[in-house]
Amino acid sequence: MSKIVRGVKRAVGRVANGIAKVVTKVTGSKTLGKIAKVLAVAATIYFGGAAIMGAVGGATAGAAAGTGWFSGAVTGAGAGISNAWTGLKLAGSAAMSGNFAQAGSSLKTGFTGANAAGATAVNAANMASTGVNLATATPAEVQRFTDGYNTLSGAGNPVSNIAQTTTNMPPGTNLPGSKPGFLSSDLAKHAAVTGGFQVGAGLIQGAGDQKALEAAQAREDALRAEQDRNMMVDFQYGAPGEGSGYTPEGEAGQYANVRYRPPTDGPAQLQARGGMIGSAMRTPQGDQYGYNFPTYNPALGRYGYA
Amino acid sequence: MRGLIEDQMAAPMGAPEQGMPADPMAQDPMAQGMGMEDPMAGEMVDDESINEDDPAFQAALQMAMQALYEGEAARDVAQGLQSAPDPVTGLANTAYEIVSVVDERTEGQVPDELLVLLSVTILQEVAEIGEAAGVDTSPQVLAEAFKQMLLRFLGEQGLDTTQLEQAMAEVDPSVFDEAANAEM
Repeated sequence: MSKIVRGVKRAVGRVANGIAKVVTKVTGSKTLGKIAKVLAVAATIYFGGAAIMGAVGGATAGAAAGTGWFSGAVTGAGAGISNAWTGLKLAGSAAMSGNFAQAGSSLKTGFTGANAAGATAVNAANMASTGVNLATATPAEVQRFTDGYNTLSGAGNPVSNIAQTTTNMPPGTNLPGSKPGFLSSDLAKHAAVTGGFQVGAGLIQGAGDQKALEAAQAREDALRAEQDRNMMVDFQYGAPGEGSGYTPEGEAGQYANVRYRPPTDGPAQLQARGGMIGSAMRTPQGDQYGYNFPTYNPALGRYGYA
Repeated sequence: MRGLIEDQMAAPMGAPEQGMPADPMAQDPMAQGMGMEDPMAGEMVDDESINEDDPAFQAALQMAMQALYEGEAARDVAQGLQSAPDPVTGLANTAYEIVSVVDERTEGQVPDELLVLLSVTILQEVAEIGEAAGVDTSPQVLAEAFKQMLLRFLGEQGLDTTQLEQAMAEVDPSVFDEAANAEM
């Protein structure tokens, strides 16, 4: 097959801006004859029209939807006719008066309109092929499903917060814009029920995930609080070295059971954890972890650095 | 007709033309994918990308002109146009065949955006030959010939041109008469 046959479709799609220069080149001869002039205008109108109606927009949308260039092109070509020829007629008039830049601009305008129309047509076709959409087809069925879901949830159920949200929708009340009789079709009913269950399953799944996340967060918060508390105790009343049952003077009664527990984590872990002991407290004279804890100073009557 | 044109092109075109590599497909890695679907199909290009000085385009044009005038294919073209069922069909088919042969002989090296310019230029040459041979080359005939040639290109690549033809039919043919007499 000749490349001209294979490649012309690409040329058709790429010509919208270039057509003005193409026909300018055709008519570039100083001895511009009748044939050249006529062909210049014909190229502008017919090839420009093919470019516009070549459904480049439809082709793009079709390709994105997996329907391929051909089907997209055909769909777009059908959708883009009116827009295409509006620009095309302007382009023809401009070309006839020798204003090829204007011709190209007019073609581009029509091209854009056809592009959008083609894409819209393909998108509409794709939507239709995916079946009935729950949001547009089933307000009553959604209500029916949520009513049942209320029954399933019950008081104290982990998903009761979800059920609560449905109480604002009185049973049997259709959503605004609903169309009586629309669900008479078996297909619509089937799609509605299927879609409703999909929505419900998503809600339940979401509720379960939320509860699990909250529980995990609570456990983490509790652990963190305990760690912080221990670190605070160690800082205020502990003593360097191994836990020895050291009790600050005069505070035996209140803090008799306080023990110094050297941190089990290294400095890096402690810092990463954001504990009370920061890097500013680490000194070369510190303990095995680099921390220089304050000691009880009898002269001061409190803990502090010597 | 195609056979005559090809015969005329075969002799002088045995060696690669100037500007054309001996094996363009082997030297141009971009050309390797010519047969593949272009993911950028539909991309709009600016005017500057239309470069008629492109070596492949010039080589294709030279090949066509040499075949028509040095190879004396013009005489065959004239006879073919005179014997065609109607001027429109004769012009459209002759130009189509020449463009196709040139495209094949240049191994598809003519840039896509220049294919239309090549087609129009060759149709113009064919029309001038026809005019010299007394074939009707009125503006409406020329425009219709171009339309048929374009539709044939699109149709042979598998596109349904029905709606495009319908839209093209809405164009008032008298605009081409006006174009022929317009000052440009």
